[in-house]
Amino acid sequence: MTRSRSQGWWVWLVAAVPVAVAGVWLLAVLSAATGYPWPEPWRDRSQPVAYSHQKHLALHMECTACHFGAETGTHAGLPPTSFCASCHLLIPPPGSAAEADTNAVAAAAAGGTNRWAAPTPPELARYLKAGEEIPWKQFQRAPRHVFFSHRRHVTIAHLDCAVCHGDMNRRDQPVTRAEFPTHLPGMNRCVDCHLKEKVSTDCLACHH
Amino acid sequence: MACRRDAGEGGDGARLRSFLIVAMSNPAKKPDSRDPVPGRILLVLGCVGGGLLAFYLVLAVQAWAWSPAVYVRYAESPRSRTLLDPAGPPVRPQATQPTPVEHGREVYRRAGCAVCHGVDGKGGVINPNYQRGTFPQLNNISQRLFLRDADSHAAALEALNEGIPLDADEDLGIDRQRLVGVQYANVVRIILDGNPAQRKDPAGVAPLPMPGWRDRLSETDVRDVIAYLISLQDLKVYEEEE
Repeated sequence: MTRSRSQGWWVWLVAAVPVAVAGVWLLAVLSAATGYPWPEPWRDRSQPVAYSHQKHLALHMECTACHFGAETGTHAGLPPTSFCASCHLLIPPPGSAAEADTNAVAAAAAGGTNRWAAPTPPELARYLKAGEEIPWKQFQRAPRHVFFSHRRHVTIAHLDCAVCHGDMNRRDQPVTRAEFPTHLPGMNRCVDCHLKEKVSTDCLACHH
Repeated sequence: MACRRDAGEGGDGARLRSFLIVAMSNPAKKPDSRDPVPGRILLVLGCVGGGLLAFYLVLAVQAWAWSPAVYVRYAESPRSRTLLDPAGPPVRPQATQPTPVEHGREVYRRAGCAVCHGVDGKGGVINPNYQRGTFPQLNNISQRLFLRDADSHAAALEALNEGIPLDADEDLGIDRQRLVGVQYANVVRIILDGNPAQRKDPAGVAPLPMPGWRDRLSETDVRDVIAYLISLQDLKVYEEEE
């Protein structure tokens, strides 16, 4: 029996499609399970402002100063732009030495340089001037059937933020994916810590 | 019936088979009974089935990877039994009206004071090229208001909790109350109108001054923030002085 090459191409095509789908799916699962940054070209992971935790933490700011909900509520929350405006694009008191630098601040907002202690990048200046909140994309998100309280972990258990969120002192780029330093898959990262700390692993302690 | 004719009489089933033969063969070539068409159909079905199998295999791997069954040992606990009880979980008491100190703490955090002055006013945040190096700590504001003993501290806190500012004319039971009142008015002015920051190096960058909060905070907010800051005072300082 003889078979020409033109007769067999579609067979390989039909065979390749499910294999390719399975391969992409496997990559996505491995990415979610291991926390390893596998490429996900279908998802836009850019943040509107290139916020650097490293620069702000280098000034000895505290995590809960901006994410104040972490101590009192379920969600840690993000600070409003008014927090940014306290230092960036600040209008100094009239007659003060800093007032002369206000023009330099405006120059920095337009892309130039200034001698202000808190230079304002243009993309941030745009939101501050418009008085709008920065539309951050959320990547750290608990599933809907999970009740995760930051207050329980931060205020009651005195858990350091770095245990779950990693060393933010070295992060000079905004957060663009959910990352956990333990690299355990899914719920195991929670249960592993609960077992180590001898706290409840009861289903209803965390699940609705 | 059509389904009976499929077997050998050449009904709809035979037509479908002929269609598949033509569709899966070279269009330029007419169907030939000697071509291995059944084998090709099996190959296609095998590929699709293999793909689905691989898909379900991946799902199985995912289920295995995410399963907490290895870790979870106790699915039932007193808490579970309480929550599953028909009587329901115990009812939580309703939240009460926050005290001025509690309200002041909320304002302090929500207005962003903690960003510069630190959580709980402990300071330590660097202000580049500022003469003093860091933003002022505020958990010792009680001393800066010249509340120099525990009784004056308690009296000031009690007055603020009742909504009376420390620069009021009435007697609040505070030692050297007039001086305390002047300092209190100064602190209120700094919060509402801001305060410049002196440079350490005149040729260096401009340090961040205290911005004015008049447009964002009410007088009650400011009074409660001061009450909160006074409540942060470590009272051991007074014991040591005595």
